[in-house]
Amino acid sequence: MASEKKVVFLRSSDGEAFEVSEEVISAASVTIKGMIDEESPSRADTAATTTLAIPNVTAATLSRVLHYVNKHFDAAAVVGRPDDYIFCAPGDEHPLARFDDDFVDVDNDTLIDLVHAAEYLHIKKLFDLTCKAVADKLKGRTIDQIRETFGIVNDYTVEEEVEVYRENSWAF
Amino acid sequence: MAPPLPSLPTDCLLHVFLRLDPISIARCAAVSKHWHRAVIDNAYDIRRCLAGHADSCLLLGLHYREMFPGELGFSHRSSWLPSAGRHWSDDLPVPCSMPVAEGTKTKLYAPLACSDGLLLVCRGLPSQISVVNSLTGFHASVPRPSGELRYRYLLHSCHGTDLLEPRPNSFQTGEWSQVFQPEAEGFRCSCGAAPLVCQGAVHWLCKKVSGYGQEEFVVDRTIAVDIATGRARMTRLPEHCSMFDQDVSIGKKLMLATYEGDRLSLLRREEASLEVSVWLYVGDHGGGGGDDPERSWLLRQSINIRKLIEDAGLSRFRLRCKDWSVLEIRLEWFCPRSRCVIMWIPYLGLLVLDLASKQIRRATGDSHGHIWPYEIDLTLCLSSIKMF
Repeated sequence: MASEKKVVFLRSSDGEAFEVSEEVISAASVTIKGMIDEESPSRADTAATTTLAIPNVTAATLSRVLHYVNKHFDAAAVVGRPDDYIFCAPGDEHPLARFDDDFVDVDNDTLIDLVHAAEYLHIKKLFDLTCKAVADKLKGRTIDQIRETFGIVNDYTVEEEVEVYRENSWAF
Repeated sequence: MAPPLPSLPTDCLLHVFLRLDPISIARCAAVSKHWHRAVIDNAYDIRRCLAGHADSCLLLGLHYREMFPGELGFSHRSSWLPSAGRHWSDDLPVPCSMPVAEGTKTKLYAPLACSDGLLLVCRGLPSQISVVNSLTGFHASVPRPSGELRYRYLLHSCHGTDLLEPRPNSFQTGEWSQVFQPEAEGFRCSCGAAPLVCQGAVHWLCKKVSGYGQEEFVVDRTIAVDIATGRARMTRLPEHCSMFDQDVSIGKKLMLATYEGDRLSLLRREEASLEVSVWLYVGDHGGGGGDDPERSWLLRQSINIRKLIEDAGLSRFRLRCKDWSVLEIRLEWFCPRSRCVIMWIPYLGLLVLDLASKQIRRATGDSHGHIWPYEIDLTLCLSSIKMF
């Protein structure tokens, strides 16, 4: 591929288009890389930029995802190899560690949307980060707190619930 | 009918569960049917991923009894000194739910063996033996092993130690098989030393019996029986670790353990000092060593217990004893999952030494000789959650 800066447009489920560097998004998202590779033979001769439809992700979530992607995968923004920070000791204050903490410090619906988006787009680092954040929200909570936090309806019958409680009584 | 937002699909929840402790996962299973299903469907992967994790191999505490058939007590790890900070298992209830049979008091139960969170207990005389998970309340009766009363029982759950390879003679679902003792011509197990399950084989410390009536048999070899094939193998101990049977059975100077991963090793109390030496079995790696015991066992490390006790701030417990040199270590028990050694030292009481991190803690309850460490891999419970 040429070194010139190519961009692609990503169109969210509600129709908003976002511009992102092709190189950056290919490094980040397996799904989009696949889409671009599929497209590339047909557009090799045309100058038109590609627009990819991302039907499962809303504009609000997509803009957050791209914010993350640009921070983590843009070689100009990240010093050294993009994966380097994974090997830092937990105590090391990496500039992106702070960014990550702030990034997942959002309400639950947004967070779950991010998990979905990260899974759909195959952005492993983002997926790990968001799953970790969900786990932190579950850790040490009671059942009722978990239901409340994530808006889950208790669909057990009374007998089933008693059975589940009895079976796992060591955990309550 | 469908819930408005099926929050997270099952495979996403798996990745969330992999970052959680077993208690939280069990709670998630009770949240809704979808989550319940997610835990059941993913239980295998959760177990596989958490199996190597430190938290899944843990020592919850010690069962102990004072006299036979005394009351069964439990020394919870959160009560040990020095406190090693909060651990999620500290929130667990004390595992004490024994089956209550009609007309008997629960306290008449006496433990015989303990492994993987399961306790082998008998009531009064060992006429009725049952297996109990005293945390979840599960219990099942065991057919009494044939013949005479035995002093040593080994409870080995195939399900727990080997995840990927279920063994034919599995102990679960009521199928019991007796592990035979290697009482070959001229050899006998040292009845005071606990057998060890390591790398798919049961290892015993054995003595050579040369004619009857002799008291001073020497423990100078181990015999290993492969659980899957039943083949036995003998390994001689190095000169330094061979000793009289009574030093092993009563003096508790020698113990089988695993060290550096899952490798067979010997722990030996050194004479006249608070030191324990660790001997690693390297016979099957060297190749050329053959059956030369001095080459197949490698002195790996000497652990200075006195220094560890002083560093941990525990030396105040031996106030009545000014002279360190009269203290002797008794190596009571090795905990295969958490790789901790339970030792007893006069005045200091029961100490729990983590072999990997060299941390030492003092367990409450000073009933040496009648202790059963309670370790459980809670992810096992997740695998057995019932489906609706």
